[in-house]
Amino acid sequence: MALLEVNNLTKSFGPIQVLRGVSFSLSQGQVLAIIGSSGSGKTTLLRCLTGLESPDSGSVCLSGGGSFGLVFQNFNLFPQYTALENVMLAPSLQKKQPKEQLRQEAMDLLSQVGLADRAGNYPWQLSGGQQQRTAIARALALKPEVLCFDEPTSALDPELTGEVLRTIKGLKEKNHTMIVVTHEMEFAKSVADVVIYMADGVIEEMGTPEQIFTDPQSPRTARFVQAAWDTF
Amino acid sequence: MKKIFAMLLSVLLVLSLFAGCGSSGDSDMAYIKDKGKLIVGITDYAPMDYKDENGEWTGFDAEFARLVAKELDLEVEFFLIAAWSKKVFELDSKNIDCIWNGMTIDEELLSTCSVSDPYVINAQVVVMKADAIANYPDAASLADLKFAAENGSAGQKAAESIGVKNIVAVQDQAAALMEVAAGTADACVIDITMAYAMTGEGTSYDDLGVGLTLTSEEYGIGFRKGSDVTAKVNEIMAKFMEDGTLDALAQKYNLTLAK
Amino acid sequence: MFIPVTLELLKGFGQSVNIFLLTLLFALPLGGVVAMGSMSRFTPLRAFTRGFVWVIRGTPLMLQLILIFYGPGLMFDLPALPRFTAVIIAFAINYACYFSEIYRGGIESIPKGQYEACQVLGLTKVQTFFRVILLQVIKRIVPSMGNEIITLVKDTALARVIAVYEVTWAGESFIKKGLIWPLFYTGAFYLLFCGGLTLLFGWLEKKLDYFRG
Repeated sequence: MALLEVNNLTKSFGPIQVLRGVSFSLSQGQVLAIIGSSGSGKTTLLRCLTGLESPDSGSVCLSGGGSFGLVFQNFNLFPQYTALENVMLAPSLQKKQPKEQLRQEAMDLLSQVGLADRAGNYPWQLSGGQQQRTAIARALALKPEVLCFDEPTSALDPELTGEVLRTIKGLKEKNHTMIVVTHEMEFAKSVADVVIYMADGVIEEMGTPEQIFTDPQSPRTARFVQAAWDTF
Repeated sequence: MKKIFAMLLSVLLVLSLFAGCGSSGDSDMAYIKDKGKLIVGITDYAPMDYKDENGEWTGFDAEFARLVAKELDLEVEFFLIAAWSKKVFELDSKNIDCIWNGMTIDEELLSTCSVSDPYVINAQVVVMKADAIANYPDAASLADLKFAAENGSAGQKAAESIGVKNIVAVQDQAAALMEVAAGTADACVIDITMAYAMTGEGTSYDDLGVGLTLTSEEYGIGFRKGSDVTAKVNEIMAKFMEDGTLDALAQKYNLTLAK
Repeated sequence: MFIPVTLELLKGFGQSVNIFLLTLLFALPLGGVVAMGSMSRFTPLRAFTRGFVWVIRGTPLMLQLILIFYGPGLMFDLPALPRFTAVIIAFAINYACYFSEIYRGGIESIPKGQYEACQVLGLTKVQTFFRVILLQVIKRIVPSMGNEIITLVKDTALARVIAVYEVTWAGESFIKKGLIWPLFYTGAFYLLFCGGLTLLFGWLEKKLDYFRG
């Protein structure tokens, strides 16, 4: 049974139709990579899933009433809080668990992303990669059913993208269900279970990485993939 | 011996006669004309006498004095009276020829000087809602009202002198009027000149009127006792009152002439 | 002479400080309300608030003081407010409008991403504002608030226009008694007070220096 069912999502901003009927489903533990040129609607799709935008029509069903987490392109860490406080803020406001336990869990998450020794640092004291990993830990703290990434390495210097991508790979090994909007073709190919190529607000092609990257059915997908590999 | 004594006595008599001529027969006017300049005793007292930006004495009295001197064909020299209390002494010792400084005419002055006719009057008057004036015929009836007056002004002192307890000291006389117009004070005490200029029909404060006069004073020019200059100056002053010279000055310095 | 003058001026300065503190007490929160109005998505409210801020910032505080105190009596034959109350009302409204623009600038300068991060983390609007946004806004507006608050110290001198006796009034009164130096001496009171405020705001800026953003 599918964990996530997305049915016929549409979304317009004024006269511009950004999503024109997007449907797909995702099973528990799967990693979905969404690729496409800018303006194709992939970020809007992610924002509709995570509730930052409400779709004009269509539905998003997450079985078991779970939630989405979101990791932003620009991290959006809270500057006045340390890495640990950033991770702890949302769960502590829900007041479901004792503080000490939350603290322990937050520390575990920071260790998981390799930042145990940076727990007391403020965002400005961290590198871009470290900030993004903190943001991943923060998103994980609410135990989301599906963790979404909006171009998580686009704002990073090239030498810092690796650590973030490795962290995401590590999450896949722990069976996290994830949707990653990305420009990193190599990453999409090696980590994703399913790849969606979006163009003009619709899914142009959806399939396994092998299909999309080596045997695309649509000529448009083929052109995009070819161009992406070339620039890479 | 007797002869010599008689001669001496006659010489003394003649001398004393001469001396007598020097003080009474030879007039004060002649004395001043002789030296060609009128020494005017003043203090720094705006708007009557004060220094302009070039350090020259100006003001109502300074200008007035120059005009009078011109009529008399005299130069003017201003002399700053260091101690106001010794002004008559300065006059008698001929350090100055007159005191021309917005001087209030009172009994004491009249007994020590020859004083000109009054030329300016200054009065502190009560301004209140015009329709209420009739209810306050005397100073006693005003005592319980809420007053406004310029901080530290003669008006404030006048209000205090009639036993008013509730006085709001405001920044200037215009503010005092505003207090009355707005009803934040029942009455105010200001200069008569301003009171008449700013109240009544055709002004912004047409519902206000001038009530009791609390204090009134007249300004005069002081000359040496028995001096014949006084009459001459009175004559010239009357002419200036007539031809509007003084009206122009009064307007310029915002004063009220004594007519 | 120095001691009695100092005592007299101190008495006036006490009133200046009263005006200063009470104005802050009311204007700081009122500024928040005005800022909310001027950022409202309800257009008539936003237009009204911005128009109001325009009028208040576009006219002299002295005029507003005179209007609030004398206006009711001059225009409607109504009884006037107590003088001190009128001062506090005029000052609080005036400064609330200035503060509101500083608040608005501060709030609008916070990146949208901060709100979105809060939203996806499930924070309520209130939690978002108080736990995440507020401190960042405060950090950003401390310098301009410091500026405005120091201006307020000196503006208290305007209260004398409606005969509320503060330190400048006390200084001016000595002129009528033939002493000029007390008026200049009042400058020392303002200087000392503003010096203290400058230190306070410097400390606050330093205190908020631990984070950037």
